[in-house]
Amino acid sequence: MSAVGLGRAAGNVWVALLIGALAAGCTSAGRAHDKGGRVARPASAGQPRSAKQALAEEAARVVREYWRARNLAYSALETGPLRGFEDQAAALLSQADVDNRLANGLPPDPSSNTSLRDLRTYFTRPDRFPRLLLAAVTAASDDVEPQVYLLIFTRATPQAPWKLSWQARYADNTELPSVAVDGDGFAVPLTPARQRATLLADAAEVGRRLQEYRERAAAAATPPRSSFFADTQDTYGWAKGLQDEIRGGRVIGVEERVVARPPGLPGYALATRDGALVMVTVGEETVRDYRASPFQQDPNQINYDRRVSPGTYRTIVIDALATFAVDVPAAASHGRAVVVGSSWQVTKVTAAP
Amino acid sequence: MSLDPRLRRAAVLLLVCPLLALGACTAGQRQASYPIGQDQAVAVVRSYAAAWAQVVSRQDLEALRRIQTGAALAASTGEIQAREGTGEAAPAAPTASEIEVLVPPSGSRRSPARFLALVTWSSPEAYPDREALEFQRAGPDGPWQVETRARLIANTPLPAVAADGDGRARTVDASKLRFSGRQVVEALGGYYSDEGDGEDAVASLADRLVAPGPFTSGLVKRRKQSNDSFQIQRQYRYRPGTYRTPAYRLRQGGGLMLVSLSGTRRMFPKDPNVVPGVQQDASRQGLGGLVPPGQYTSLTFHTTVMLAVEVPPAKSRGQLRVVGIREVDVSIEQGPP
Repeated sequence: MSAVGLGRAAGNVWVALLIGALAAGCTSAGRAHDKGGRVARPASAGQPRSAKQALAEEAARVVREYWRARNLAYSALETGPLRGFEDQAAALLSQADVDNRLANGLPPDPSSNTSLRDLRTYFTRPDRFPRLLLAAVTAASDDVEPQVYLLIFTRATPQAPWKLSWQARYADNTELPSVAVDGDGFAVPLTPARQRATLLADAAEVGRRLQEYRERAAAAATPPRSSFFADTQDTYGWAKGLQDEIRGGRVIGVEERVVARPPGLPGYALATRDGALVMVTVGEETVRDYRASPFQQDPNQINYDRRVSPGTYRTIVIDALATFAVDVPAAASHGRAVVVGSSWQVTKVTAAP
Repeated sequence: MSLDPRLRRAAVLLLVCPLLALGACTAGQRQASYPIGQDQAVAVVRSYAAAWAQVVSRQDLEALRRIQTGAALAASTGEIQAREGTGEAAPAAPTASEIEVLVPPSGSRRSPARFLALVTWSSPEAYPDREALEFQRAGPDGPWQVETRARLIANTPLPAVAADGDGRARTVDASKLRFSGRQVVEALGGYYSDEGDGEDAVASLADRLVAPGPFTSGLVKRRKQSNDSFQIQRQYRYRPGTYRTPAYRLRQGGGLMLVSLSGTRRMFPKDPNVVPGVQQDASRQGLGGLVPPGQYTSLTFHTTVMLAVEVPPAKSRGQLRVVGIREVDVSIEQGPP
């Protein structure tokens, strides 16, 4: 695509944003420009504050307050500040990141202290619970490349606080998903039944297929091409990397396999113009069998993750949790599902003689 | 003597600058002009992209030599050789999903045979990646080849190069910029180098000349964090490489330069009593395919660094902003086993 094409894409996004902003189900704030047309607009001044504006302000406040707590927690390597702000997959990912760093004496990641440069929110109707709030944020600081995250906040009851339940890092240099809004401008959540009726697959099925793909990739001789998922970094690219790792392991006498361990966490789906943005969480174990010679963890625990005590082992098991954002086409579509973002953390490392 | 390098480099940075700015020196060899139109430039980039896809997916060094030269060729050769060394599968062929060309005015006596392309690469195995490519042509009958390729900061607007009424990229002479090409590579070489004896002042000066950013302060902090956290230490040294002026004029003032550095990264254990050496196992996955299996008291990687740098206007107090970078290992030097 040429610069003209880029400009056209930006124009389309601007029109979409204008409609969305008028409907108030989608709001944005931040700098008035971004790459590839991820355009943000300041709130209009001098107009009466409507109920919808109040909801938009509430959404922005929820996200910003969470981000402040996140920066504090990640910088201090202490999840205390996130207590009350997270649950489900989001809480497990944060805990795992902190645990990994503390166990291995690693400093906070430089990206742990970022400000929100761009913020777009989409929220479901305020009178129907659980409420969902999807935020697409661009986090940046002087020291890190801007990173785009999708965040799902949930509010179970009118009395319950908003909590971040799910999050994933969004693909770089990629347009955001085109989240659809209803006639009143609210994002449209899809129940599992509605997902099954309108989409290629529901969230549970998408998660199951992802796990199956990953297990198959670990067992195959070449990276499998999926008939369900398009080839992207999080599917074909991941499989290729895994197979390089497995091949390298074999050179030194290590066999590696991946076993699905579904975490039983809920998925989410919001309607888009041509399907839905489906957000799932998967779990898995990577088992490394040291067949040629046992693995030696040295007394200083330099060789490997420090959750493995000094000693000699034949098997190491790495538990991990991963979230995926998947663009799932409508049931009638001939397209494939596209994984557009992911986050991944090791949650446990164990070793056996 | 410890003061010599400091004096020498400070002199380059502070005293020689006015001479450079006045045009007493020019950067590199000035080339004759071989004008190219916008459409032709897009065709050149498309042709390059098709050939590059073949080079990447087939690890074809011969084809690579036809489409790249200079720092880009050295770096891409190093990348392919390293991948071959590990036995990793070749990457899938990337495609140029977006192309923007910035061609200096045709017939301009000041414009050498080169143009800039900003390309978004798509691939079935990686998120889209954006790159600044500088094409050059050595003579009227020679091929267009990529001389510099730098990965641009993700999720950020592309460098805003100014264009004239015909859509041609405007250029700006070094005399209109705060730093000449020579100063840019000197400053960046000093900035990225770890401080050594007697070089603190130069490093401090370089720090003031270079703006914070993911490819500057972020990179240096991550390196320091790594040395603080791990037993294997990495020590970096850089020397000025290639640069050319004029630069591509930026809409907000200043210019965009594509430059290169030559670097070394020496790896060694912090405490040999704790970790006796730098270890590479038979899979070669730890240190990459250029390093044969074994244990080394130290290893030195020679690298090529290509950078896209925004240079502030002459009368401003602005700093250098690195908006694109690619550093690649091109060879290694082994310490005693």
